[in-house]
Amino acid sequence: MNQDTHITQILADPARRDEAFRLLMQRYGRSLYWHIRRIVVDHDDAEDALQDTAVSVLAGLDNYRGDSELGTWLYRIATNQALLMLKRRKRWYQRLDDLGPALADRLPAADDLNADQAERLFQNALLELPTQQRIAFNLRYYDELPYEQIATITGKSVSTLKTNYHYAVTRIKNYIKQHAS
Amino acid sequence: MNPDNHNTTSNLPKSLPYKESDSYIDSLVNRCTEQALARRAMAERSRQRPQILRRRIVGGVAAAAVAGIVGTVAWHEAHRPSVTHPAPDSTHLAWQAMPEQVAEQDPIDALLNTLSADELLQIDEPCPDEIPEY
Repeated sequence: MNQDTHITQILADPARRDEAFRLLMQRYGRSLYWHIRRIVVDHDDAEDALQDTAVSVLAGLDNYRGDSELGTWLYRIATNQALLMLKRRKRWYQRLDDLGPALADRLPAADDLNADQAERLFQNALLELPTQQRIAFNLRYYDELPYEQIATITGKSVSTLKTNYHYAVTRIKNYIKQHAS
Repeated sequence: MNPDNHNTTSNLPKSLPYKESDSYIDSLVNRCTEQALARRAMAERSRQRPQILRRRIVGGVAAAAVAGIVGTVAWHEAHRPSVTHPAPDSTHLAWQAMPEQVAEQDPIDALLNTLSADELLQIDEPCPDEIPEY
């Protein structure tokens, strides 16, 4: 029996909801944090969005009917909370897709980086992508989720996601070529 | 590694330029988990508090209403004019024998009513000759 099936069985017992919630967060918490962090970039914002995600998950457990897999359901909640966080941070006249440069400024300073210049360049290139495209790219590239699952999380069709992913990779490579010193 | 990524993204870095360690993130996740549970418990307690308060207020009002009703009834009972012990010459009650009441009097009383005051006194004084010797 896989872990999700085990958690789903525990969820069926209302008296064990809290136990199921703790198991869910243990299993997916780290992945959810990094998914959120890749969207909002700033650690404090990621921490707040993760807290809001936990509250939403706990509140939603009573109504969870198993229509989608647990992981998919959690990622959808986390994605929505991350987007809400971005909306709180943007100015009223900004679009979400205009936040790229502002988010790039929130990347750790070069001296603090664990990574090299190529990684920073890559992150800057990612932040140039439209927000929804960036989210889909992250889920595919970093989380290696199947397109069908990403489609459920983002609400986009599989064909749109595949096209967008290919387009995103091309843009990122062009950006790196242009800005690599 | 995902085979779909192989030809397109193989030369792109996979790691993130962030310093946070796995143990730090795990600790953060635990904190978020427990805070969510604590927040829900507090919300449930807050929801119950108005219900308890409402029950107490309703109970208090009901008790006060019952006490008020009982007190009002008791006051009215205490201050209700009595009709069982009127003063014989009370004009308030206009206590006067009605003709029907006279007609219902005892025949002996009716006889006594016809006698004068001197004749009544004579009836009361015992006759010395009639007192039996014991």
